[in-house]
Order: sequence, then C-alpha cells, then structure tokens
Amino acid sequence: MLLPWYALQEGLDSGAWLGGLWSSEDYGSGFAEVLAQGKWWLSPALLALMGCFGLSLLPIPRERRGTCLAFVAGAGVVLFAAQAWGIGLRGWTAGWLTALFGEMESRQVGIGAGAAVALIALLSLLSIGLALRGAFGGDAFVAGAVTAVATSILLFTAWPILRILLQAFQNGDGAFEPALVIERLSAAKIWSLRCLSGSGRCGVAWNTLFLAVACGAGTTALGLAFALIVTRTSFRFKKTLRVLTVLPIVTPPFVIGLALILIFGRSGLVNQLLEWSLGVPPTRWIYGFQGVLLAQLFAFTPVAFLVLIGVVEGVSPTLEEASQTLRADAWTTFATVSLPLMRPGLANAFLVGFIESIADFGNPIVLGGDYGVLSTEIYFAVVGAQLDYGHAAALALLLLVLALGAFFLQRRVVGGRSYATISGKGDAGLPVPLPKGARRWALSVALPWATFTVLLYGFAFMGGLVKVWGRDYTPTLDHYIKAFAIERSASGLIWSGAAWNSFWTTVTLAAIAAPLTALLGLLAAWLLVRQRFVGRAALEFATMLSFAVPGTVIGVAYVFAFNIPPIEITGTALIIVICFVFRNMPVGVRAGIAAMSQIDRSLDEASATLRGRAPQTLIHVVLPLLRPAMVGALVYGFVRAVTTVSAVVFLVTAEYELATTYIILRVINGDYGLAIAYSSALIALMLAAILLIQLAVGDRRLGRRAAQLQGSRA
Amino acid sequence: MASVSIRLDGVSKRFDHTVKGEVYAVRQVSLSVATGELLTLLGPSGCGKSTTLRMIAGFEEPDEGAISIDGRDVTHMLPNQRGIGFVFQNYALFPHLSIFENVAYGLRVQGKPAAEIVRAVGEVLELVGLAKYERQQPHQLSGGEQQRVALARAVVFHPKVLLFDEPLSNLDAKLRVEMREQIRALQKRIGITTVYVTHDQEEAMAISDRIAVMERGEVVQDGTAEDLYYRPRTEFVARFIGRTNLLTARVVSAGEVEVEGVRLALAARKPAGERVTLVVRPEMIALLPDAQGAGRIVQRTFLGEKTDYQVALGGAVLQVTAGGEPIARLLAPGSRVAVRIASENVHILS
Repeated sequence: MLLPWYALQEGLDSGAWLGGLWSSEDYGSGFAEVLAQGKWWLSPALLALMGCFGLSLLPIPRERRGTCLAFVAGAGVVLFAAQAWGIGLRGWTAGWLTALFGEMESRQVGIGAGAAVALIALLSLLSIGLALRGAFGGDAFVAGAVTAVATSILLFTAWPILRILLQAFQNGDGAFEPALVIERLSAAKIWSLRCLSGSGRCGVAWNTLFLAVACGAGTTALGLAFALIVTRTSFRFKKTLRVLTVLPIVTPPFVIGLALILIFGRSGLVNQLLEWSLGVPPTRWIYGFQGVLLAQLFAFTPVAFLVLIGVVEGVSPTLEEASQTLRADAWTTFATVSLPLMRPGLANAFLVGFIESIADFGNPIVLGGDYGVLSTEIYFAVVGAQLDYGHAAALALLLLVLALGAFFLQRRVVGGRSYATISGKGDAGLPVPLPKGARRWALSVALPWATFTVLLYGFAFMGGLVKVWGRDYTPTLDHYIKAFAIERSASGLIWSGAAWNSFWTTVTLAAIAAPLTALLGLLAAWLLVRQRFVGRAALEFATMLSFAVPGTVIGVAYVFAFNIPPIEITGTALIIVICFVFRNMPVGVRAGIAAMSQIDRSLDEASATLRGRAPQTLIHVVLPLLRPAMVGALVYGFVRAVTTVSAVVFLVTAEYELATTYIILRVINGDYGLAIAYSSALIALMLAAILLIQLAVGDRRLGRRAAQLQGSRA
Repeated sequence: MASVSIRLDGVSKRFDHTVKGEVYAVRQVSLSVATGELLTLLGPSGCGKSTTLRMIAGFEEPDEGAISIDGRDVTHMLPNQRGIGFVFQNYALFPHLSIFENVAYGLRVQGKPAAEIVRAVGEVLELVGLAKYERQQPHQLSGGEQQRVALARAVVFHPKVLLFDEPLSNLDAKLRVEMREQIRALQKRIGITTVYVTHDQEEAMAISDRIAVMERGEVVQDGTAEDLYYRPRTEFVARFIGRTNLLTARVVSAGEVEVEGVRLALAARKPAGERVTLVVRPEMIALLPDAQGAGRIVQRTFLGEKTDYQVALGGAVLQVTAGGEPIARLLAPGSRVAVRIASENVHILS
C-alpha cells in the first residue's frame, strides 16, 4: 500500500509522489486516502484485502477457507468497481446516487498504481478462493489465468463496446435519451438511397454495404483464379504468386491507395498521358467508389487467395477422378463436383472480403473523396469539426452490427458441414487439371492482376525517389533524407529526420505490445483448448468476437471508455499499447489454438501423471512445443501493431504519434513524397522481420519432422 | 479361352525420385484379361499394382507401351471416354449429393432421360441391397454401405470393365470377407471384366479367376491361385502366397533328392550332387512321434482347427501345420519326431 491510489498527471517515474503518500490528496496511498482524507468508499476494497489475509491465517478446513476467501475477495472486487464507476470527476456519476448518499464533496480521478495493485490482489485472492473450493480442477494457476484473461477482455474489449452503446443513447450532456438513438440511426445521411435514382448521394450505410459486397465478390473471384492457378495448373511461377499472400500483412492499408493516386490521380501517370496525347483534361475519377474498390481489391485479394488455396486443396482429387470414370468431362467435373465442394469455402472468402472492406479505414480516407463510408464518417465525427460523439457512437454501433452479422454468418458457413475431404489417410488421387476454359479464365484474370500489383508496389516505391510526382521526375533521395536524416554534432547523433519521432514511438510501443499479445493470446489458447471450466464457451466467444470488431469501432470505443475515470488513460502510451494488445490478441489465440490442437493431449496427461501441476506442464511441456507458434504470434503481433491505422488513429497524440497515423496526415496534406518514402521504409522493415522469422521457424519445423521420422523407424 | 477384353502391352511408368533419380514404378508389364474374367493384381505396397490400375483407368499415362480395351487403343484416351467403372479405396462418394444422385451421376452426365435414370438407379441399388437408402447422404452410411453405393455407382451405366483399387482395406476383417463375396457374386452375375488390386493374398485367392503377382514394378507370375500356391515361379511368389518352407536339397539321383537327411522321391532334372530349392508348404509335412527321430519340436501354437509347429531338423527350422488331431496326439515342445514329406506336391524352384 505504498503506491499512490490515483493516477498521476506526470507519471510514476518523477518520484514527487513519495513525499505525499500520506498527506496529499493527489499522491496518497489507499490507506491514507481512507484515513487522512476521509474517502470512506475506498475502505471496502482495503478491508477485503485485510480480511483475506486474516482468513488465510485462520486454521479452518480447505473448502471453508476457499468459500470465505472467494466471498470476501469477490465482495471487495464488486465494491471496488461500484465506487470506481459510481464516483467520477464531478462527484457521484448519477442523480440517484446523489439522492441516496447526499452531495459529494470530493472527486475522483482515474485509478493509479495503488488501486491497480489492490484490484489485482483482490482478483488473485478471488481465484485462489475459487480454486480452494474445487473450481478449475482445484488449480490456483488455472483459476488465476482464467480470471486474468476474462477480466482483461471484459475491461478492454467488452466494456468499451458497451460504452459505445451507452453513448449512442446519450445526448451531448451525458443524459440518457433512448429516442436519440433512433433519430441518429434513421438519419437520411445514413440511409438515403438517392444515388440509385441518380438524384444525389446515398447514405453512408449503403455506401459501406455496396462497397463491401463488391469487394467481397471481387476478391473472391480474383482469389479463386490465383488459387486455381497455384494448385491446379503447371504454371511455372507458382512460388512467386504465393509471395503475394505476404504483402497485405506487411503493407499499411493505405499504401495501395497511395500508389493508385500516383497512377490514376490528378497528376498521376494515366491522366498525364491522356492530357499529353489526347488533350483530355485530368479527372478525379479515382476518388470515390471505384477508386476505393480498386484499392480494396488490390489490398484484400491476397487474403482471399490465402483462404481459397486451402479450399481448393481441400477438394479431394479422388472425387474428381471418380467423376471422370463416370464419363464426365473435365468441365462437367469442375462444374458439378469441384465447384459445389468449394461452395462453403467461397462463401467464407466472400465474407472475409466483406468484413475486411467494412473495417477498412486507410483506403477510404485516402481515396474516398465524397464517397463516405462508415469508418471514415466515424473518424470525421470524432476528429472533425462536428465533434459529435453521439453521432459517432451511432455510426460505430451500425458498423459493429454489420461486422458482427457478417462474422456470425461466416462462422455458420465455416462451422456447417464442410466438404473438405482431407483425412489422415493418403489421398492417392491426382488433381485433375483445370478444364481449358477455366484455366484460360484464371490465367487471363490473375496474370494481369499480379503484374499490376507488382507495378503498384513498384510505383509506390519509386514515388519516394522523385522530387514531385507528376511535375518533376528528377531522381532524388530528398524525401528519405527529410524523413530519416541523422546529423552528427558535438553532442552526438541528432535524429533530425521528420519521421524518427513517430518511428521510434511505433517501434517501441509495438515491441512492448508484441510479447504481451503473444503471452495473453497463447495463455487464452491454452485455457480454451486444454482446460475445462465453467464459462469456457463464453470466454471463447468473447475472444473470437473481439476479432470481428472493426478497428474504427474499437478506436472510438476506447476514446469513449477511457477518457474519464475510473480508467483514464486517453492520450497516454498505455492506451496505445493496450489497444495493440487487445486488437491483435485474437491472432495469438488462433495461432495458439491451431498449434496446440496438433500437440497430443496425452503429453499433458503424461506430465500430470508424473505429478506436474498446470504451470509446470505449461512451462515444461506445452511452451517448448509451441515455440514456433509463439515466435509467429510475436512477429505478427509486432507487424500488425506497426501497420495498423484504423483503431489507433483515434488514440494518438502529438506526444505519442505513430508511423501510420503520421503518414496518413502527410497524405491528407498532400505531401506524397515523404509519405511514400516512409511507407516504403516501413514495408521493407516488416518484410525483413517476417522473412527472418519464417527462416528461423521454418528451420525448426524441418528439424522436428526429421526427428519424428527417426522415432517412427526406431 | 474367351475373347480378350483388356490388353496391356509392354507398359512402363517412370517417376522422378528426389534421391534415386528416375525410377520405374511399372516396368514392361504385359497382361491380358479375358472377357468376364476377374484378374487380381497382387503385391506388397509400392510394387506398382495401383499405378498399373490407374493407367488402365486413364488417370496416369504410360511412358511406354500400349493399353487397349475391347480392341480399342485407349493409351492416350481420357478416363471419361474409356467406358470403365472404378471403385476407390476411400469410396469417393460425392459428399454434396444424396445416394440416389451419387449413383445417378454417370447417367445424368450422359443426359439420359429422367425416367430411365430412376429405373436404372433403383435397379442397381436393389442389386446391392440398398433400395431404401436413396434419400440418405453419404456420411450417414456405414463404411460397408458406402462401399456398396460406390459399387452401384460404378456399374449403373454398364461399363465395359470394372476396376477396383483396394476396395476393402478400410473395412474391418469380418466385413471384408462378407463384402468380397458380394463383389464376386455381383461380378459373376453381370459377367463384367474386372481388374482388382489388393495386397491381401487371401482376398486375392478368394475372389479371383486369375492373379498377377507384382514385385518392384514387374509382373513376376500370373496364374490361378492353385498355380501360384503349388507352382510358384520365384522365391518371392512362394513367400508372398501362403506360408512356406524354402528348403535346400541335394540331388541324390534322377528320381530322388535329400533334405536334411530326409529322402524324397522327386524328379529334379539335374545331375546328382547339385543343389536345388524346394517349396514345401507346412501342411505337406507329417510329424510322427519317434524317440529316435531326427526332428525336435521347438514350439507349438494351438489354433483350434489346426496346430502350428516349429520343428528343428538338422540346420533348418520347419513350419509344420497339422490339422484336426485329437488332443492326445498333440506333440509337446522338446519331444523328438520323425519327419515325412509328401513328395507329390513339393515344387522345385528353377
């Protein structure tokens, strides 16, 4: 109880709080706040802590002690939460509380180190108590892990999203007005369909939907063409095509949009060529629906490709052979056997494209022009001149509903009866070569597309190497120097480049977040796959759910939830790290679940029979076997944190500026050269990180396979 | 002999092996199958039997040689034009189609009228005993039932030949015996030329008119089950079909050989003093209790209807099977016996 209860403006490292632990209202520890400042409402949490300490000293039976411990600690947590949300910056947070307890003299700022420690201690005691009672297999470690994962998901995913709901019902002063949400949600700006009759613009909801459907259909068709070529033809450059699948992971989402501007923008290559040769005045046609769609098709086709490779490979060649022996020709076989078998996979790919599209923020903001979609509208509602939180919340709610709807549909499609026919038994069949027509279609679609993708990246890279794109194509390194200059001076190196500040912030925060992401993700995966406990299904649901929430929604939700006490962390680096962790954790969970389902459960059981308890089993058996998955989760956690835009765009401040948001601002200001130079550097860095790791992890896997072969021979 | 339905003429298939370079999966295989005959390709895994079958079906193209079906050269013809029915090891039923649609598939593809399809499918499902299963989905059926659907699907459009690729290896032992009898009965009833691939010699002997034994891509012997059992051409065939004693014998005279001190009346067609290898099946050896006998019982395995013995005789250990003896006549391990070999069935490997 030697830490300040409340959050400090200047942070813990200043040390100024040491002197005021007892006497100062701002710096006081929990006990001091209760005793010296008379903040009685803090006492239940502290009393509960002391009570638990006393309980553990009393000589009572294990089960009774567990019950008491769980009860006291649980009560402590509840009362802690009640006072935290009940008393805010301006005293009681709700009228009926004021009526009940009378006017509040003092006020509360956000919780600080002391309160956080107290809360964690109470939660640990609660889980120990539950474990003593026999829950979670009587294992305190499992109990603690479940409590930790559940609490963090509740606090940093569920609560912010709930907060959006509340915000949508509140008016500007925070009063509760249910009618408002209906008014907000039924606005013509959202639902107008005038664009169909040619007499105006459609609402953002329809814009988003049209775009998402087109994007889903387009990426699915393109992805299928690529997947068919890679798995079903003797095309020579298959391996090169596969490289495409890495691109979207390392590319910040708006880079494609940028490259498109370089080619089709007002001063882009195409417009210049047309003006020069035919005298056509430059147009702005790239800004709007078609531009965003084009960018999204480029950005997300690789994702569909990745999904569909698995789908096409999952179609058993034997079934196609069977069809052939039944006198069907190649085309009939493809149409009546292969395609129907792929149908669930195609639906899945469509929904993935749909979800990616509605969650996309980078491309619409760069290329959208007048064509607003939900994610950009939300941004402008929060950041722009309107500053209408209620409107933003309503839009976010709509986006959330759309995303979750698509997500559940996808789960049903994937969870439904799958025709993927790969089993443990070797499938002796040879894949039937594509019918000529399909082959020609696939090649004629995919090859130009792949070429154009390469061109796009090429232009994006070149854009950073010329003076002013569209006017002065003199080769120069100016943009790179401007961004990444390092000067030598008497006092050492000076990182004078404009990008360094945001670059180091990004790398530092991502590096802090990545291990946390991997750890939390794998811990959750381990609990979900290997442990049986009450609420497991709910926990799994919550983790998967946070996967489906668009970044923009999370960003807005964080702004709403965490800029007022009890958790007041807006504008800090902490909120960005937390956002990284909880945005990317599901990736870790998925990687962990996939890896863990491959490790035989009997290994855990063997460890248990050898008297290893849960933590020992986890550390000595599961983790070493999971190393590849862990490394993977680490890297993807890092890379995704560096390249993300949508969520953090709401959270950055001048002090903690991130690379992507910095670039976006440069783009909005029309400073393409610097933005492109910076993006290229980022892509190169991420690509290097991924390749390095894939090399390392790939080697390990090979080693293991060899070992298994030897084992089976012996 | 009836007319030839399938003919393979010097067929070879090569593969590129990462370590060994170019290897032959099938090498210079020449076979012919008579109309209505059931020929089994038998051999251990990797002997090229499945590859041979897949070349007959048209899934793989031979690098050398020619294949004809009913006198028509099909070597480079697509599978769908060859007029074959194929039954796969994993059944390969279309999971997105009902049983009826699975069986009807081949007829639909050919654009047969609906009424004819209904009639033909009904008939053939009746034939395999699955008349009530038309509306079911494949995954609702047991392994044996799925196999029968696969069979019905393969024969419904009256193909010229029927090909089976290890059709029973996913079934349990008892069902396997039942199914092979059903397959054989059906094959005989519709009189269809059939090539059947298996690695199970008992299954091969039970089902076939003729068996071709393959080893390392080549057909080492083809003949009836009796041929292969009593007159194996190579040591490999002798060992692969049934249990066997391969004994080295010395030619004593034109009509007599000697094995470990036991004399046999056999015409060896070799000069006296030469060594020959005899194929002696376990049931061709008789054991007589004899305290002075040359043989000694090493091990006895009682199997009910028969008893297996291992008998040490000179430098060799013989596998001996004795059938249906009274308990009192069972020989105890360690006891001495006289060994008699019934010479009329003993075969000399050339």
